[in-house]
Amino acid sequence: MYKPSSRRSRLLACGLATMIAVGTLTAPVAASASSATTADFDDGVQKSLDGLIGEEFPGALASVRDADGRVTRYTAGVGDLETREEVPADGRVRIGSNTKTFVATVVLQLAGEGKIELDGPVEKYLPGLVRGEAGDGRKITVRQLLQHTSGLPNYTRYMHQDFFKIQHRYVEARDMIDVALRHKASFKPGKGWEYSNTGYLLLGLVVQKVTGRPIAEEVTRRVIDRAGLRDTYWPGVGDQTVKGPHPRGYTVRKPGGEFVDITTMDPSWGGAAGQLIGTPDDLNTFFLTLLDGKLLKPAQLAEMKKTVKAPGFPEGWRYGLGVVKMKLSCGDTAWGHGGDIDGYETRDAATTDGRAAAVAVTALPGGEAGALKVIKVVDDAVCGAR
Amino acid sequence: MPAFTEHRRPPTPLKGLRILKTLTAVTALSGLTLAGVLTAPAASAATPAWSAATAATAATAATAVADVSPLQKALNDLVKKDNFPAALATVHESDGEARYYTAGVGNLKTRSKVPADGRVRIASNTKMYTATVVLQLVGEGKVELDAPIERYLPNLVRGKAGDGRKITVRQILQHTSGLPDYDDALFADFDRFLRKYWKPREVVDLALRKKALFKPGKGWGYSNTNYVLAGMVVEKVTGRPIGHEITERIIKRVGLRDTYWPKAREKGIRGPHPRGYFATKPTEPWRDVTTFDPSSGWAAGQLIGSPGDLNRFLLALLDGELLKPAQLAEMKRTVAAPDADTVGGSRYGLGLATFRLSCGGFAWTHGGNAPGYTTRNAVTKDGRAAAVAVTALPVTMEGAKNVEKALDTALCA
Repeated sequence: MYKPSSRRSRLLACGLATMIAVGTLTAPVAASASSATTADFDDGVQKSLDGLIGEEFPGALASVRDADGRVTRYTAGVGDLETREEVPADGRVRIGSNTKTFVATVVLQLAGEGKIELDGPVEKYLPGLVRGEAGDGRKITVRQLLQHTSGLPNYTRYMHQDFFKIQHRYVEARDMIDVALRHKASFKPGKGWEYSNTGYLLLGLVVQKVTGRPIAEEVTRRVIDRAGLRDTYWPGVGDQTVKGPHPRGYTVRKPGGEFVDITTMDPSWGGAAGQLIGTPDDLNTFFLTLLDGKLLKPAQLAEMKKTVKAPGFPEGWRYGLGVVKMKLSCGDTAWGHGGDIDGYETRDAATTDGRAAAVAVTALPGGEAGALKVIKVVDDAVCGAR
Repeated sequence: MPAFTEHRRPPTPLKGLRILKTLTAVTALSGLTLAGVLTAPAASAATPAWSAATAATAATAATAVADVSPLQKALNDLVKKDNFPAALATVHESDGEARYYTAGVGNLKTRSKVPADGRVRIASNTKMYTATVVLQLVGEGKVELDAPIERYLPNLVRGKAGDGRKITVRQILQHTSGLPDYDDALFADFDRFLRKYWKPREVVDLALRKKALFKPGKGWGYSNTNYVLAGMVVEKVTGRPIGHEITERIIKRVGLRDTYWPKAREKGIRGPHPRGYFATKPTEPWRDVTTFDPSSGWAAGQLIGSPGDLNRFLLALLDGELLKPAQLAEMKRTVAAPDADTVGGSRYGLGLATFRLSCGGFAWTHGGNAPGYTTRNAVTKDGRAAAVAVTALPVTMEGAKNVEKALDTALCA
């Protein structure tokens, strides 16, 4: 699944994914920070999190919420390889492609308000923008962008292969869309499925067009504030830092090489496809609030949960509108997304009965095995939280 | 009067966002009579507040009215006769001493004082900052002044508005590219304009739908589009946001503590500032427009600053603190800029213009217009700098002229 030759292409991928559990219940009572406990006992989640630490991941952190709303936080490894500081419990990380679920939520809210037509052509909102052999905005619908069925080439595949060359580079969404539009469509709209960050950059512009406000502001006002996510924020223009307590994020220059601190970087290339910063607790709160119907009307939540096959994702995973549906090892169904961005991978899953788990590791996995190990921690945690 | 109706010829040139120009034009149409309203309060704060140190001193120094300086009188008149809610000015003498002046009220509702050297939207003055960054990059060998903008912004500028392969970096800084402005398109709906967030590429798209004003190099035509493109060139070459580059390369370097680039989404003005007002004609009540989204101005007009900082910037710039001699010389090479101000005879360099003085010679200037604020500022060859701000766009031609007269008074009296 990971093609070493196109390392960029997997960034912001929810990657392979996320997996996990079933459930049914609802709302998370906002388990606030104060009610959270830090796991100091040797339970299964702690063990499996410890098992992630080593050559692949310098640090890991997790937050698990059980059906009664009890939150337990876990950390493993070190938060800073230089100072050997601990990983802060529920520290902030770049949540990468989880951003897509936030953006999809805003789009679906606007659909619920009658301002966006899910099956309307992208052209209606961004006239003349999408043209050429990459795709035609007159033939691609908003739903297809949300669903990754537009066929639009994924711009991250064409970014510089050496991330260090662009680490501190600020870019505009339109510039990256231009990059994507210079390539050929992967398939005709609706005739296939391929994860494409390009679709989400366009959705960010659609939201801006419809509301007159930047996507960052709409995500903040309509989702982050409404769900009470106190540790989640959209980095401002030019902001290269991760604010507040956080583990450092790392990468390697070549497979097996030494860790290099990559925390400080300009995430503008992620944009509406992956720019947010948040914490494991907040990811859980977000997904549970979403599933609980507090962010979307029933009709739009139902649209979000209509899934299609997602070839290339782990077995049992399907893609809805900005959300991944996962079959967990215990047979439960869970919803989440996950995100990969230089320095951090996050995997998350929430059930409709109010359980959720989010795990972050402070480097991208070197291969599929590592990725599956992270997913398994989330799977076990959600299954075990019954 | 014809100057007002001619849509390409704004009444108050060096207009900030050209949006404004259109607005002022509209305004002016109805308004040549001063007969209007007097929303503005009398000169309660009409005292020369001066201090070499802080604005705080200024507030307390507001007592001795007996000896009213020509500049104070000019500001009082801007309030009393031209009905601006407030006028403020800061003058830096050539020995470095600063004097602060205010007139009118900072808030029409509360009648609060105008903060001395309070912050205002400096609008098109931003172009000086953007041009300075571009010229710094020229000095570093990263941008070539006479290269086509195509080199930095491939395939972006095409069609009837102009061709990036035929327009040079110098021409966009000089307003000789012929690229049309986008401001009137923004202004179709003023309320929407106040709320709406724009990305640079979107305003460029608006401009590219229009026809070129003239062939590149064959005329002079003030256009915000030029400076949005200049900002994009900076981003392309440095890989950093234009706001970041202006902050690091100019604001921090000169130590402009009251100047800042508003963040994306930021609609207010930080720190002490008079409220900004808007009306389209003298008979219309002032509307408070302090809070709005300045993103459509971007590298052509987004900055917020104080009159004192405008002086400090121009002094540092002309003193060679920001540019190497070769690039400063390029900046000062001017072309005729007809009707760029109400005084006449103005010329435009690279993000820097000339302002003819009644006492002989000229001063280096720019100026800016944004909804809520008009700024006129300049520095003389012997190092005297002045910046005058009023808290509205002029609604009459007289008002527009009198702001520029006040600047002349500040520099000549």
